[in-house]
Amino acid sequence: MRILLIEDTEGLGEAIKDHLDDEGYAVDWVKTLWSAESCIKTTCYDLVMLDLMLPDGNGLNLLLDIRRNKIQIPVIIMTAKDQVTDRVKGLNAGADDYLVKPFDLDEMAARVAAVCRRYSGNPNPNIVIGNLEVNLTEKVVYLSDSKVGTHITESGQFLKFLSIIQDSCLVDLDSKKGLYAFGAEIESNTVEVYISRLRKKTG
Amino acid sequence: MKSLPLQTKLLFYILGLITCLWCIGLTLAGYHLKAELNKVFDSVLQETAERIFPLALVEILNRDDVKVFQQLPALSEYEERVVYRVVNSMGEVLLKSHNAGDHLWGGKVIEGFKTTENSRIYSLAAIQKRYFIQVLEPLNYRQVALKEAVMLMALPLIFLLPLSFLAVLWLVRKLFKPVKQLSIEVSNRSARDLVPISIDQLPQELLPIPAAINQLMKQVQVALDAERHFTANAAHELRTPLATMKAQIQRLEKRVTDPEYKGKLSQLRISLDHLINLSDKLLQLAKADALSLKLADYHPLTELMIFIIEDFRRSGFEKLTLKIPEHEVFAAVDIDAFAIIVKNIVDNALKYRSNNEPVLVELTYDAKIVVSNDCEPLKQENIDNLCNRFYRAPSQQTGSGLGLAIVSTLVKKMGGSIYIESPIRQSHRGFQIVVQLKTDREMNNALQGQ
Repeated sequence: MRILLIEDTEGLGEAIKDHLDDEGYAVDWVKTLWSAESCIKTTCYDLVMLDLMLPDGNGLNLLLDIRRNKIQIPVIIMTAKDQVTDRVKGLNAGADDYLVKPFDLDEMAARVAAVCRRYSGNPNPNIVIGNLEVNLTEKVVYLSDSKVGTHITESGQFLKFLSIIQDSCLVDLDSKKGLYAFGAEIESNTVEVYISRLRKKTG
Repeated sequence: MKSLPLQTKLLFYILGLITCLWCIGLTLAGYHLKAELNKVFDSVLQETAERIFPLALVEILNRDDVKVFQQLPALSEYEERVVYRVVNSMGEVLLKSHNAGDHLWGGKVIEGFKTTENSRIYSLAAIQKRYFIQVLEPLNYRQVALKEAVMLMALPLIFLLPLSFLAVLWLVRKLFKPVKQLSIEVSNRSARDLVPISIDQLPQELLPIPAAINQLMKQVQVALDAERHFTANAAHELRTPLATMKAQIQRLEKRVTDPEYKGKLSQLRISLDHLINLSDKLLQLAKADALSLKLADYHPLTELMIFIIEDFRRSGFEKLTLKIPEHEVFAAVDIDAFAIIVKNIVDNALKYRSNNEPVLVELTYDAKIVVSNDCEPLKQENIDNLCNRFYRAPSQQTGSGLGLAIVSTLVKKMGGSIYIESPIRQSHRGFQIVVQLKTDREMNNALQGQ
């Protein structure tokens, strides 16, 4: 899953990006509205994490543009504005969730996962393919209700990939694109390698 | 001492003035009438004397003995208003009318008019002042005549005075209507309501007042908005570096494997969380102390309440039970201040509840927020101090000691009241806080009745 992170504070943006990377998301991090607009125009994202007070304008305007242009992307606002009126304003503008800084990175990841699940039309955090069940929250794989792998952190991207393709037999290029951010080293056989590892674990 | 309203004063002054002028007019008329009446009555006395005297003299001079006294009998029974007598220069009475008693005449005979205590006397001399006629009239007839005349003149005024009162009242009220409207509009304005004053048909002289007030309120609004923005910006400027620190510490915690450093990082994160909490409370306190609450409108509270409680639930506090009324509740609140109040009292309940017991949050139809949690009962002295700044009740939990002080300040500013109970009624445990907000009772009752 590919996420566009729009955050102008260097240290915070870096920590969020690293955390989401670890969670298995492909994160493109930009610091201005202008860059964000370019990214949205050229790339298909699964989620946008949006700071409001950016150096070249208010993030709320970008959100309004996204909704005006009927782009179906979930948007999570991250801001230090904690007043209810600001939150209501953000949600009314079309945001799917609202995180008030400072926030817990694990809570942020949970909210990102929840919003993504909601958008995919499957609020269930479990992926079921045949007798294989993958819990995306706990990052645990079950085969016929037996735990076969725990904390598969290195395969976070792969688990996300499974969630994308769970209802399809064919793996297309677009599905794979969602696994990599700009500048990431793309290994064409990554998915195959993880499937092979999972096969070994599930026997 | 409270002074009377200008309208009442004006009414009294005008009516007082009218009454005084009428009284002065009546008095002057009375004096003039008295003088005229005296002239008429004196003329009658003089005329009577001049008519009777020749006849009386002829009758006296034709007597055998001039000095014989004669009193004329009454021809019929009637009240004799004018009496007379004829005396000689020696003062001997030669002739008198039947009611002319000797005590009436008051000493020596003086030619012309003379006034005694009770009478008016006219004396006329004849035959080289050897004979005098005196005609007397009691003064009370003149006084009665004057009194009746004055009363007759005053009678229409007694009816006209209430009529004038009503006319003046109507006129003053009509003229004062825009002034009264202005007064009501001005008295309604406060930091809660800075809507410009607009009144039609205001007198020319009063036009500068609303203009000046509106200008002043505009400046106050600008100042209040600046204050709000400053608080919001200060929050943003403070929270962003704190958020960076927290996120970086969390990242380090995940990467560091050494248990010693991991423990130190954990302590650092706890201290940072405490700092974040304290800065939050101080910013809320700054907002609570500021006058910039927006309280002009009544807001529906149910959805807002659900929104705030859902936020708690999303943050992992599942054991929250929210009870809301069937109908919408309206109260005069600043939405952000309302959220701060609810967050603080719910936060307080979650922090100090015992054994992870559920917290009950209730919004009643009469705009009461009731938050209850289970805990050991508090002493009365602790309860009394709970709303004081930086006061912490004895507990294992660490707090800033500002939460309920913020709630108390905001509730007072919104015209509400706060009530704390521990143990909860009909129980020997627990803590309950009730916040009564200023509500539109009529509106809520109407909604309740639908």
